[in-house]
Amino acid sequence: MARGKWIASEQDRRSQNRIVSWSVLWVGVFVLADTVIERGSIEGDVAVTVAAIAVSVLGVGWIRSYVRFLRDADELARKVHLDAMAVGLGAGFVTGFGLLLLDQGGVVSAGPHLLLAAMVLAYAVAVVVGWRRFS
Amino acid sequence: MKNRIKVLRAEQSWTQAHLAERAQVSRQTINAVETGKFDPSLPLAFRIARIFNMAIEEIFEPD
Repeated sequence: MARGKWIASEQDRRSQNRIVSWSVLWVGVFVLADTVIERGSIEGDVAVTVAAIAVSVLGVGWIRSYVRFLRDADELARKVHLDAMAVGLGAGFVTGFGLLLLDQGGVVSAGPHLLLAAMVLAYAVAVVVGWRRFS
Repeated sequence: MKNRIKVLRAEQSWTQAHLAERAQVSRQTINAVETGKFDPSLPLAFRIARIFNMAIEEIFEPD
């Protein structure tokens, strides 16, 4: 079947499985690199930079799989996910600038983890809400 | 956007799944279009019109 056309069944499932695999792989490698760097298991700017590049390269693969998923997706699914992305991005901005103010005021010193968690959570909730809205 | 898809589908005794398969979208998409929750893209509107052998404006009309 032509790509980008028939999306609701087998192709949709394949796209979803691909993006889930990439997500698990990327998150796993990110957590591993984060843990290793934090514990000081790898030292030196070069080693840390190599780890960061490896995570970023895998991240590019994840982005490509997501773009492919959106391109192949059924048009309603595409709308739900694009709307959810807007919510996730907005949550990122709002949380990021909120944390920045709190950090400047010395109230809390939060790293990027909280920001990423807020974006992922907002995105996930928006996907669920989106599907409910259209079902 | 209002539409007559549900009526036209009933006349043919088609299920949403059947129409979805012919229109190459998910059943959820057909359901959302039928209930007016989701406006289809122009290509999908054309495909649906072609399936029923009708013009787009005979099926869809603005609110």
